[in-house]
Amino acid sequence: MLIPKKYRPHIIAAVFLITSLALISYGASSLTEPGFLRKTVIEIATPFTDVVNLSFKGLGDFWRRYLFLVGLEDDNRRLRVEKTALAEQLNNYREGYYEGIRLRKLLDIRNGLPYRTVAARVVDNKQDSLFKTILIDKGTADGLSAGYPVLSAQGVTGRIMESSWHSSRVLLMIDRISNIAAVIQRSRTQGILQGTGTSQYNLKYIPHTADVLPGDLLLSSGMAGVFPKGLIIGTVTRVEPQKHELFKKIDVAPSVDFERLEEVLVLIPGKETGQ
Amino acid sequence: MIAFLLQPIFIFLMAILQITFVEFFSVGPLSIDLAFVFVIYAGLSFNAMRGVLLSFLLGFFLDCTVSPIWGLHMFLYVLFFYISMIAGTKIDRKNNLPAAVFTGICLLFQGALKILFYWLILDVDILYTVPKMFIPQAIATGILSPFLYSIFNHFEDFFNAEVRQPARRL
Repeated sequence: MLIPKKYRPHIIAAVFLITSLALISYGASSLTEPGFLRKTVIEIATPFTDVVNLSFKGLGDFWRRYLFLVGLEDDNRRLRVEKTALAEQLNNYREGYYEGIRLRKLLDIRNGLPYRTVAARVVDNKQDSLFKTILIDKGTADGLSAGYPVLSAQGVTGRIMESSWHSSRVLLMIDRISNIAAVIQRSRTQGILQGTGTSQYNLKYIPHTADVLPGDLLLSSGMAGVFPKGLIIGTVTRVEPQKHELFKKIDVAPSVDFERLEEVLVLIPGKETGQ
Repeated sequence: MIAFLLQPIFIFLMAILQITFVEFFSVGPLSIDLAFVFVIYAGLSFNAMRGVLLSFLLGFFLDCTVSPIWGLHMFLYVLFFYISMIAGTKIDRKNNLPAAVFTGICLLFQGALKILFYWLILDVDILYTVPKMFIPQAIATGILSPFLYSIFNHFEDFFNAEVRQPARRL
């Protein structure tokens, strides 16, 4: 060889360095398009990269999921607290949504009545065996007084027994001492509806000749002057002719679910809105 | 002969490992430049012809797969192989501390050259990566380099490297 052995490594390195610089120069002039050689290497490298990536990914997942569990308990605790808070929040939103629906129904009723009305929230719904009553959060300060009729979105609910400044007790229609003048919608037969202390009413003073059938809708007749005419009261469930009595025995299912009352509407008689 | 043919494949797999290794085992800015450590190892261990070829080939594979500047890794790896080869007369790779410090310093210089080439060729300023990437990488790779050298030692026979005394290298 012409090159002395002593300088050979330097010469080899220099040749490759110059070649590399030439390649850099060539590459800089064609930055956008990779050459055939480069494309070939990329094509060959891709499956290998995928395999190694998958292996490392599997290893990494194994490490993260099964071995590296530092802080997991804290995360778990924090997430549980967050979950509880979010569930509570969701529940509040849901409550608000359903309350909105109920209030919308009350509003619809209110808009159809020629009375001034006061919406009230039920604050106590303990219906003991002696009296079937509820407590609402509006009283004389809101213009309420004893005897005022109370409605819910489903229909006639009761009337106010007594009022303090900011609360009133409402005697429900299912109480034994509740009575209301009623009319059967289909046949226009009139009678007096009385509570029974259970979850149904009795329609009284209906003669044997009257046309009453199970399924008939019962409305307030407006005769006594307390409740406006045409409010839904309930549906006839059973009609029983009694041989030795003057009148039929008629059971009526209330339209109102008294166990689930949450908002009611109190009508203020004598204060028509002019609608 | 078979080993000679298998060496490019080994280098190719190392390039693949470098691409994936850095991605998966980097913790924040702390990543390991495995390929570069191999180049330094080759400079401290292999003969000139074999070492420069393998470094060039490793650079070629990395240029093909990840480098935005064609030829950059080839140039840098051959350059640092050459620097290591010269430094090999003074540094014993089996002595951990000098080898680790030398690897870290080389990696920093490589970073500086990359910044220069990016600026010259792509007109992109990546100077901000010095504290974020190059310095942590140089420290991490320098610290781990003795361990990586001990792994490469197991392949010494495969590469048929001549373990020479520093004084007899050139």
